[in-house]
Amino acid sequence: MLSRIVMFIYICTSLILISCGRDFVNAPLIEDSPTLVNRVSPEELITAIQPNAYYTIQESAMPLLMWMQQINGIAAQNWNLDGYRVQYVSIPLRRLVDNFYRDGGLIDIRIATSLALEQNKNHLAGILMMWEALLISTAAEYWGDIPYSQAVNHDIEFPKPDKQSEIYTALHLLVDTAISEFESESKSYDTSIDYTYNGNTQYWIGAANTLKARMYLNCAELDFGNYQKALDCANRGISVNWKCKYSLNNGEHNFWYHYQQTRWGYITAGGFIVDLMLERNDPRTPFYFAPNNNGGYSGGYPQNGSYNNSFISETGIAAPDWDADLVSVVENYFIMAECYYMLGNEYDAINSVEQAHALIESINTYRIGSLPRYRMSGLTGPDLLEVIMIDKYLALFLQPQVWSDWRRTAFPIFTITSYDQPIPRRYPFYYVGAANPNMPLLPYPDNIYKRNENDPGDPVYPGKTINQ
Amino acid sequence: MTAKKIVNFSRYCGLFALLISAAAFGQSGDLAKKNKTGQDSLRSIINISDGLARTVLTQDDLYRGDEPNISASLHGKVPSLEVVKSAGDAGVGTYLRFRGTRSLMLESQPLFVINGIPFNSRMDGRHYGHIYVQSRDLDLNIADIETVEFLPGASSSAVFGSRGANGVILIKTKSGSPGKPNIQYRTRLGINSIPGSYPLQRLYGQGTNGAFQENYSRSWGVLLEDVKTFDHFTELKEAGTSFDNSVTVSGGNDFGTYHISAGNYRETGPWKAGSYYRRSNSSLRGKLTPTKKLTISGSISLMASNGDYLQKGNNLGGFLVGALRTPPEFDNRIYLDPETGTHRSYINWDNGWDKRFNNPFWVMHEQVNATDTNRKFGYIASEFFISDWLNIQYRLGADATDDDRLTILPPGTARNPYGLLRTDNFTYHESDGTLSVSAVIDPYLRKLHNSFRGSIIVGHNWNKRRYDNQQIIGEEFKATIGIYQFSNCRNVEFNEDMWRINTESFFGRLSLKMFDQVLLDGALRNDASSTFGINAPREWYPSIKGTWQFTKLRFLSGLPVIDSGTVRVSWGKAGLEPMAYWTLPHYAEAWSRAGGYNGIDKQTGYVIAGTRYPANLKPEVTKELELGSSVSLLNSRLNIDAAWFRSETNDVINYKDLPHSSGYTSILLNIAAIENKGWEITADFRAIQTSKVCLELGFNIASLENKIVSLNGSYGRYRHKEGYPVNSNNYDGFIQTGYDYTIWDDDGNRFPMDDIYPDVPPGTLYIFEEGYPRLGYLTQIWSDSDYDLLGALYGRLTLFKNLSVSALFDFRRGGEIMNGTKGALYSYGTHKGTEIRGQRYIFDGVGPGAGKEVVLDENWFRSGGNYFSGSEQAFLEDAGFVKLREISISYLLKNNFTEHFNLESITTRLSGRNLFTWTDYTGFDPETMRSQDGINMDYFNHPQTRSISLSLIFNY
Repeated sequence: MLSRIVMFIYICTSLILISCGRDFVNAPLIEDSPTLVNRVSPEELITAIQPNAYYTIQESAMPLLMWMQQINGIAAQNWNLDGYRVQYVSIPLRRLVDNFYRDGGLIDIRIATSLALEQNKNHLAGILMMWEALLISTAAEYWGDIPYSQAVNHDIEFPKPDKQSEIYTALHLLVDTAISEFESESKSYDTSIDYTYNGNTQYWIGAANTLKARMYLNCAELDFGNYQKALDCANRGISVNWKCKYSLNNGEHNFWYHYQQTRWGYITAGGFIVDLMLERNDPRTPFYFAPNNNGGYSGGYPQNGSYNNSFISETGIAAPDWDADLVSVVENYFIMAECYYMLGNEYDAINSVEQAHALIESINTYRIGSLPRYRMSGLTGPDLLEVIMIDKYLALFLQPQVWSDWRRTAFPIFTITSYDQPIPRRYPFYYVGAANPNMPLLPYPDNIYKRNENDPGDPVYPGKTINQ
Repeated sequence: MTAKKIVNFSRYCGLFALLISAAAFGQSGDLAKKNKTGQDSLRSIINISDGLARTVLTQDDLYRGDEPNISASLHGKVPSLEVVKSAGDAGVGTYLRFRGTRSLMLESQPLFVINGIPFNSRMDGRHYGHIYVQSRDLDLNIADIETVEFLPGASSSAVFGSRGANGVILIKTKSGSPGKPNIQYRTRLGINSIPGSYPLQRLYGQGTNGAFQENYSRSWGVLLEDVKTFDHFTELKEAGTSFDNSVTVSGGNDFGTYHISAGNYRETGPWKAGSYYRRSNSSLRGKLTPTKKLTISGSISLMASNGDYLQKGNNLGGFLVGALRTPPEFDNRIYLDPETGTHRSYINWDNGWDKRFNNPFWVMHEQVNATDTNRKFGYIASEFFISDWLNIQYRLGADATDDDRLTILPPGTARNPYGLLRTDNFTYHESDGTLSVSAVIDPYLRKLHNSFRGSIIVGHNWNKRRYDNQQIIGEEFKATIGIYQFSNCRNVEFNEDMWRINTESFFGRLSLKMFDQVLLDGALRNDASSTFGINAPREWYPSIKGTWQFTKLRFLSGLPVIDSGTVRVSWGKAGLEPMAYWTLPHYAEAWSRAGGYNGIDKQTGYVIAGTRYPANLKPEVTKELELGSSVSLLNSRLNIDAAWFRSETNDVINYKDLPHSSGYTSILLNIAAIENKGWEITADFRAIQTSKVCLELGFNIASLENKIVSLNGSYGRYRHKEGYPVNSNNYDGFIQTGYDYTIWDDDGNRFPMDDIYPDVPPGTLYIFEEGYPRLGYLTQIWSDSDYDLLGALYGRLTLFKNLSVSALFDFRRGGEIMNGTKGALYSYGTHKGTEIRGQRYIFDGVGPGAGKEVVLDENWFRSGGNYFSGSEQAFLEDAGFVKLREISISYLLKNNFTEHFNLESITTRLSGRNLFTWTDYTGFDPETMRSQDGINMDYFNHPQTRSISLSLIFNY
């Protein structure tokens, strides 16, 4: 009898000890790491998304700014980029592509947007959509056809590229959705994490319209009607500049300051823009550039740079507390000016440029007095367009839109290029590691001179010799 | 040599083997007894087998190893087992690998199981790389060990499921037996030292271009005449000592048995200071039999250890990095500046405060790299005999380790000029429970055939593991000297790494013995683990084994030469579970965007991690087939066992790049495949066997071949390539034939080099006009660090049953090692080989400069002739060796003298370890690895030691 009791107790105890339960291998404390973060809020994501977008747009603009001769690459990979030798800088270029999609890029924007909508933070979702539209439209400007509709999708290993125009179509819809989110009811959120407008939806709606205007303008060659659409949007456009910051800490806002501090000697002023501004006696020169060793201003032309030329001014546009523009009121005026011109209204075109100049002059930081109305009066036709575009080129210093403007209009006209080669029209795709077989890996130099669909051919202006 | 290939029916089940009473299986009870005596255990290879012959070592085999831990004692004793103790410093861990590498990202070390409970043998903190770390098998006291049994691969270790693919080491600790108490006291005193010196030049001083230059890092200066120079290696050495004491008491009666032990081990390293290891152990193992049907057993072991280590390897603060690079005329012994009392090194930056390299005496005397470890492990088990054919068992075990580390780098240390304080706390807890029900099913089987016998076991196992690592790093001491606390640091950073793993398993096994000559054995295990993806929640692990004792055939029985023989075949599938949370998508701190620029704080936000962690990750699965045969000849004086195996590991986890537009850089996938194959032969021969003389000779030899079968587009680390071993490294080399180089003629025409020199063998250097070879970007040398052939020869001569002399020669062939130390010192101009500077030389090769005499000067050594910027291929060396691993002479005293002191016996042993090494390797020793995970990289690694020791064992 004792044995049976012992046996019974033994078996019961053993069974209790093995009764791990169904959750033994997937209990919350087992399945979730004690140290890894697997749940975040949209606010935590957007605080990473904003500096990434700012950094990515600015850093990846560096090659095109060399090709637009606003800066001059004189060392390391910048020297090769300055000479259009992108094949030697494939790894940096690949990293630039990466940043549009990950590490605060599209994948994180999509996650954050989804979380914000789940939590009924519609205004925050709208802001995230605006960042997506800015980031992806910029990438499409740089590379042309890029993966978008199939991007950041776990079910698709190799996303196919979409045509640039299709991307713009999708982004117009996205921006429209963002506007409707801004106009809808929204749960409150910590608006201080919106480094741009502190949650002001009216400011965001204005920026949304200017971004749409920019995208219409950049596709205007495909559809002339886009000039009118761009003008309509610009008329509802931005009222406060869309700037970006790494953080809310002072001294951490300006990419160019930190780049020059960390990579001293990699870039100097571009010769074309310095000579242009000196020729025009442009009062913005000391704001853009620091004096060279001789106390004057000078820049380097492609493959002919020097440390003795001017650097970007760290008391002006590269000051640590200067917030660079991503989308601005000035750009909005220039969009209107170009649209008016193309639509045959030269009077309002000139008027728009005047408004841009007045705005620039009103910004105390410049302390520049009045800007020269260089050859503006009495101009008409391509001469007027050229002046508009050159003024825009100067006003949008260090902003990537100048490359799109040049490809669309062929202004400014660059008389000196690297070894007299054509100026690159797009960034190439290079891969180290996994290749996406769907991407057009064209051989160098085809990959940099192949035009995307927005610049199907060289603009022709009677009486003008254009170096393309 | 008492290492025997034996078969134990009851041990088969591995993890739960020791739950199964031998009494439940009549034949295995007999075997257990036979295994305790040498001759009988040899015969057991032949007579009874469950399908595998396995090596079993006894405590005496381990003691002869003259090492404090069992892993380091295994050199040459187990076929196909690679044993690498990377340095001779005190308290250095040992790396083990059975039958090749099976994984690209996971550990290759076998699982340790003690008394049926998994045992932590981790090498925590190894990848920090700044010191040699302990492997946790160091915590075991050899005095507690009775036997160590080896299951080398999936065909034998399949029952361990997701933790069994790397093989299993089963350890059984000592237990008492009824009768008078047995008391044993063992004391051992050893001396260990580094043989020889390092080849350093002492002719040329600090500087460059033949001239002195203060604070210059290299020794390309003036010819030193009438200047005192120093041997910067020998001056660091000092013989270390080891002192090992242990006492065990065991005994019992019909109600219960016990085994109690206590031990203390102390060792100082072979350096003047800064290297020691101390350990104290105590343990209790007991067994109670309150009723005839119930037994309760258990053990508890406690361990405490501490030690201090020297910084090593690829580390500017390293011990030998600074020592071997020091110019010969600099006196390192004065490591403190006589005026300021601060660190004095041959190279000072930043006004003397920032040292590029440490003075090795500073490392020994001023730096602290201390460890303090406490460990508890044990089990409790009960067994209930429901009837004479059915029993039920439960075993519950736990293992808890608390490992504290402390690093103090005082101000003035290289790379940390303002000092560094760092603590690491590693805690590892594991608990494990197994329920098993076993039944002898002979009556049912006899209905099928009178000769049939068998048993069946079913059971359940759960296992929990918990790992925590908390690290605090404090930088820049506020007060310059003496106060080494975090409150005195300007920057303090806290890091943590934690994981939890739970597994749950069901298992079953059926064993059949048929016709008195065939054994069949099938087992099946099903695992669930928190490390598996949600889409792959469980994994099956089947195995089957069969053994046929062919000598039972009538026409073979009774032959005068063959006593017995078996052939066997076994197949099994075992796994390696993914790391914890490899299936868990997670976020990372978003600091990288701004992190590269000065003056920008880290961001506070999060981004999704760059690697995609899929939900369907499965364990890596190894399937192994083994064919083998054992024969016993000449009245069992000659026993031979041979085995061939082939394993294929599929679903090997590796990184695969993803296109940027996926949002990730890479994904972890079960994607690659690895093959291991080879053969093993073990033989024991009692050449002389009389009542007064016994001479035993033996050897084991194994051939191993490892190959990555496919990567399927995954890239892993840079060194992986399909068709090559896992442990291959990719090295640069000079431009040479066989690599599709193109050369130009004077007219600018291009020609394939191999077409121009069709008659020269691949690998012939192309010598340029100036007479030197140049580094070529196409030259990719894939080294193979795995040994192709490894084994040992051993012998033992016993005279008058009292005096015994034994020796073991350990050999390796076929592996390669990168002599990075030499390659670096060629650039620094301190290696003996740079004494030829200025001499004329003709490079052997083809090309326009072939036959041209050139000068081997500083320019050559600092450009093409060193490891940093020159040909790495030139420093790739053969890692083969032969070592006199063990030699010992022992005497057993058992006479009136011992009886007078009520002693049963006294054993005296004088032994030597690593006394001689024969190798072509020009570094310290080919048995080394920078990161302690195999061989193939020597970069200022610390040398091995040789030791001589005297031990006494008193048995009461």
